[in-house]
Amino acid sequence: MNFREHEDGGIEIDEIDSFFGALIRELPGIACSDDDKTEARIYQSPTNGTDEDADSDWKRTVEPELRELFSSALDLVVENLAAMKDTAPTLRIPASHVDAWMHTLNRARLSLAAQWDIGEQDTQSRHTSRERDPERAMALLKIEVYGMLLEFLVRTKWRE
Amino acid sequence: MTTFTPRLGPSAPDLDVLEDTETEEALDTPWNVIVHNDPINLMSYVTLVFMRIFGMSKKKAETHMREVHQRGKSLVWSGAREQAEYYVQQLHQALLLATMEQSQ
Repeated sequence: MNFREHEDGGIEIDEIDSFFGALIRELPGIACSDDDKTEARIYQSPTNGTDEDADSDWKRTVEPELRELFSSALDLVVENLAAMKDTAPTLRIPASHVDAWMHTLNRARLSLAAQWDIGEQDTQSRHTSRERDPERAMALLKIEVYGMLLEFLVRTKWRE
Repeated sequence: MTTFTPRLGPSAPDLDVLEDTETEEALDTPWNVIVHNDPINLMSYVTLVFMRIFGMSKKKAETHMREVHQRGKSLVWSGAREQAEYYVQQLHQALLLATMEQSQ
């Protein structure tokens, strides 16, 4: 798998193996999870319950805006994934879509962490291989893989 | 907080005007924007978000990022409530754990 950054800020990832290809195609579905734990993590209250009126106003006015923004980001990611062929797949992320990818990768990581109660202990000990529950182990692996791609995108943005 | 209902018009000749100093003080008291630790958000990502939202240098952004990571939270901005709300919204948009509270 090769990561390339083009002069215009676009990203290209080629020689994608089937495993990484499958994980990356799962990204939109994971990112838009709407279970209670994920919703609570993604849509926070600004005062954490200390000012109920402010939190309620926030839910009514700010949250719908955030939902719209998050949905727009997801649409761009889906668009780029749709253009990725099944055989010898290459992922092309235009410069104008990089922020949407960073957001969606981060959202997917947070969603997985919320669903599987993944915390500091899990991320610091890097004991993916010691996790006995195969589904939780897969969630940890996805968090790491999406994190690797996110790290690459962040570093391209640092150079701007 | 001092509250009063002004009695206006001709039927209220003895209008009491109370100075609502506590409210004025409350309005003047700055609001703090606080970012809380989250074990999932990448340190590099948090640094980038601070640079973008607050226009911090990379060095300053990293200092705040480390404070979040090591102490559990960092006060990243302080000032008027409206601006604090704007920053919290931006931080939530970037999926960082952020709250606002009035300074003590």
